[in-house]
Amino acid sequence: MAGDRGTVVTSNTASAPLLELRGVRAAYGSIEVLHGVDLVVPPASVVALLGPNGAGKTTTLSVACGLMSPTAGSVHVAGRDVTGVPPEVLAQKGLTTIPEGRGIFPNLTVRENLQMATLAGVGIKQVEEVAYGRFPRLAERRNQVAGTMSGGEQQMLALARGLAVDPAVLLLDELSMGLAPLVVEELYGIVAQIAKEGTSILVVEQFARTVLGVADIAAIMVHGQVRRVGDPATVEQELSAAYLGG
Amino acid sequence: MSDTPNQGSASADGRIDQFRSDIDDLKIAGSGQGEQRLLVVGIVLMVAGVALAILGAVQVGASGGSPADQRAYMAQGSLMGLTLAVVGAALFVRYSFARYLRFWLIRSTYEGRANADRVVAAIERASGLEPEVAPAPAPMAAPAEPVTYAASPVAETYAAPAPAPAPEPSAFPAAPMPPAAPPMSAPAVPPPAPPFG
Repeated sequence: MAGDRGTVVTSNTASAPLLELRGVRAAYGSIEVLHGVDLVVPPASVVALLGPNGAGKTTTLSVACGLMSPTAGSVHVAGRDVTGVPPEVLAQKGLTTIPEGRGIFPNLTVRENLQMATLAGVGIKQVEEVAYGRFPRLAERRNQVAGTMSGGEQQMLALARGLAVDPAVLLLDELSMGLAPLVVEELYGIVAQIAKEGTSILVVEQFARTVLGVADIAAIMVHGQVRRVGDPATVEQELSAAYLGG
Repeated sequence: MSDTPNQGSASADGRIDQFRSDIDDLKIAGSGQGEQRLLVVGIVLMVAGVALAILGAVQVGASGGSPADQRAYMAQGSLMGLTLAVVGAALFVRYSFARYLRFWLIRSTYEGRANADRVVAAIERASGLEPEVAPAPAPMAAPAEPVTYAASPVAETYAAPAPAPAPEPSAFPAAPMPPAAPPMSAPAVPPPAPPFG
C-alpha cells in the first residue's frame, strides 16, 4: 500500500479520482509556496494531508477548491480540468470546503448561519433537517448567536453547513484547531461516518495522529511538496522524520 | 484505522455519478472544445463562401446578359460568398493562431524556467568552490641566447628545410603592372533645391 513520493496507491477499484492536483505550483506574489504538488483523492476515500506549520497545506486546499489560481499545473475534478473555474461554481456542483477557522458568521444565530447554505440552491428545511439530524446539539441552540458557542459547536455548525448541500467532495482544513482532544475525537468520528456514506474527503491536519485513525491514504507535505504518500500506518512511522526534517 | 477503503452505498454511488455528470456539464471558458468548434465553423464558412462565390459567378455568366439578373446573382452569390469566405478565414486564422501562440507561450515559459534553473545551478556550483590564489604569471623574459633548432631534439628528426632556389628568369616578359588607380573622391553633392515658393 505504500507509495513513493507523488504516487497514490489505493485499493479502491473505482475509476477516475474525484479530485486530482497535477504539478500544482502556487505563489503569493513572487513567493512560491507550492513547488509541484501531485495529489489524488479517489472516490469514497479519506485522504489526510499532513505536514508541519507552513508546509503549504492550506494553500493546497485553496487551489483545490478554486479560491486560488495555480501558477502552474492543473486541478482536475471528476476527470475534467477545472483550473480557473470559480469556487462558487465548484461548490454548487458538490465540492465543499470547510475552511480553517470554521468560517461561520459569529454575529448570526445558528439558524441564520444555516440559511447561508441555501444560496447553493438547497431549501432551508432540508438544510436544517441534515444539520439537526447529524448534530442534535445544534438543534438545541438554533437561536443562539454562533460566536457565543464553544469551539467544538462552531465546528459542528461549519460541518453542518457544508454537509447540508450533500457534497461529493469535502475539503476540511484543520478541523482540530483550538479544540479539546475529546471534541476532536468526536468530530473525526463524524467525519468517518460521512466518509462511510460515500463522500470523498480531503482533510488537512497539523496534528496527524488524530486523523490517521479515519484516513485511507495519508500524504506528508513539507516545504510545498508532497514527500510521502501511502497508507496511514506506514506514513505514521515517518511522521517525525518528515516534520523534523530528518 | 480502516485497511479497506470506505465503500459507498448505492446512494453514494449515485451521488458520485451525479457529481461527475454535473462536472461534465460545466461550461469552462477557454476550454478547447469551444475553440475547436469555431475553428471548424471558420473552415466551413470559407469553403461555403468560395463555393457560393463560384456559383454566383457561373450564374452571372449564364444569366443571358440581363443586367438585373446579373446583379441579383452577384449579390446573392458572389458578394455573399466572398463575405462568408472572409469571415470564415478570419475565424480560422484567429483560432488556429491562438492555438499556435498558446503553444509558443508555454514553450517559451518552459524554456525560460529551464534557463533560470541552469543559471541558478551554475551560480550555486560557482559559490560552492573555494577560490584559489593563482600565482602571478611570470613576466616574459628575453631569451638569453637565440633559440636554435639544432639544440632541440626535434631538430634531429626534422632537418631545416633548404632555402628555395632562386626562380629562373621566365621566358615570358612580366606583364606591366597596371597604373595605380586614382584616389576615389566623394561624389559631388548637388546643391539643395530651392523650396517651393
